[in-house]
Formats: sequence, C-alpha cells, structure tokens
Amino acid sequence: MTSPAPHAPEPATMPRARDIGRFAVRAEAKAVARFAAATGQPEARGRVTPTFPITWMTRPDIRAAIAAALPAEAGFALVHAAQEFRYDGALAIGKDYTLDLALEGPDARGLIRLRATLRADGCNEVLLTLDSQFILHPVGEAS
Amino acid sequence: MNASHARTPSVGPLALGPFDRAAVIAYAEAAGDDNPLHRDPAAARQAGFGDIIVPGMLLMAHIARLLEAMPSVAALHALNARFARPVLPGQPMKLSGHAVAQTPGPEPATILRLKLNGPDGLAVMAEAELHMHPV
Repeated sequence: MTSPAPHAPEPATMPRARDIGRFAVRAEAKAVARFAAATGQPEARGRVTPTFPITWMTRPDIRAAIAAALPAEAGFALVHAAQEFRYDGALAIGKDYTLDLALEGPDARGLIRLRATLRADGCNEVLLTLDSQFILHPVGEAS
Repeated sequence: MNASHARTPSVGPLALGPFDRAAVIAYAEAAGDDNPLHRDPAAARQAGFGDIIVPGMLLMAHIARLLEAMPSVAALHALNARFARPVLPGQPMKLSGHAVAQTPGPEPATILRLKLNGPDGLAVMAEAELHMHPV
C-alpha cells in the first residue's frame, strides 16, 4: 500500500489538544471570487475551491483566539510547516458553517498543530477538517 | 459489468509558476495573510531571504487546481502538503508525482504522491486522495 504520507513528523510528546473556540463562518461570494482569481482560476469564482477555507484562519477573531492560546513569548513568528484539507462534503457559497478550533503544542521543537473541523450550521456531520502545522520561529532568523 | 477507473499512474512534470511579486501580494491580500515575508521585500531580506517568499498556501492552491483539471479526476477528497523550502518570485517550478494506491470499483480512488520542485530543489511534498471517474 502507501508509503508514509509526507506529514510533518509526529512529535514524541505533544501537549494535549485544547479547544480554542467555535466560530461562525461563511464562504462569501466576493471573497471566493477574489481568492479564485488570485490562485489562477478566475473561472472558478462560482465555487468554493479546495484551499479557500484557509482564509478563515486569518479572520481577526480567529487569529486573536489562536494568539491567545499560544505562549506569550516575544520575538517569535509562526512558520507554516504543513497543511491538510480533508473533505467529506462540498462547500457552498453563502451557506453558514461552524468551525471548531483546537490547538496542540508547542512541543519541545516548537511545533504547533491547529485542527479545525467544519460542519454545516446546526448539523453534526463533519464536512471538512483542516490540519495546520506551524513552527514557532525566532524573529530575525531565516526559516 | 464491473466498473474500472481511469488509471493515473504518474503526473507531470507540469509547469507551475513562476509567480511575480504582484501575484504573491494579490494572493496574500485575498487570503488575509499579512505576513511581511510575503509583502515587504525589505522585511524578507532582513529575515534572510533574497525577496518576498511565495506563500506555501499559494503553491498548494495551484497544486489543487492542477489536480482538479486532470480529466480523470472527479473530485479532490484530501490534500496535504509539507512546505520544505521557500520559493521566490520569478522561480519556475515543476510538479510531478505518481500513484501510490488505487482502488477500483464503482467509486474508484487514487492516492498520488507529489513533489513540487523549484530551482533550489524540493519546495513542497504533497499527497492527494482523489475520487476518479469510472472508465
């Protein structure tokens, strides 16, 4: 069967995942179109392209929740090490979803894992999971 | 009659990029990414890079685009990527890969192992799980 997938290595000891919030999100038509154009597929402006959901992670309230869950150490930046999208249903423009976020880490190597689970509003079925891995990187050093 | 799927034993090499600074900044704005490494050449140079760096997520979006455009692919079920090395504006890349698992039947599926290489070597390693069109 398959060789090991190219995920970032599992840390030996990752601090337990902690919930950092539930957020209401929606794929707005204008944002979807802008993202499609910026990713070389302007013709896809009428559908939610597979990596569009990453844009929710930069929303001010979601960023604030993530920052609040991280160690309060000055002089560090988050470097994106790995990313996964796993779909169990299609997303629609203008539909309301809930995004549950949980964060693990940092471990001894500075690895942080952010897990997001997306469901249609009021439904239990998971439509999408996002797994984002970051390295806490000292500011001023090249990644 | 048993359905079989269109085989996708290998991918590419497919050209990807190069991206100019304007494309990098347009993506950063569309994605809400305010990381100065993707927007400010001076900040990027101070961090040790020759120029702003292309966001890994922009590369991932294009990998998804290329996969979805393949005629045998019905849908992208999963995509994961590890960002190995920064890519700078103006650097051309090539995407290549091969199938590591295939599931026949009425709902065929394929797992592709992919590599995106730039002039400095491996930039992104990825794996895609694809729903295929039955043949």
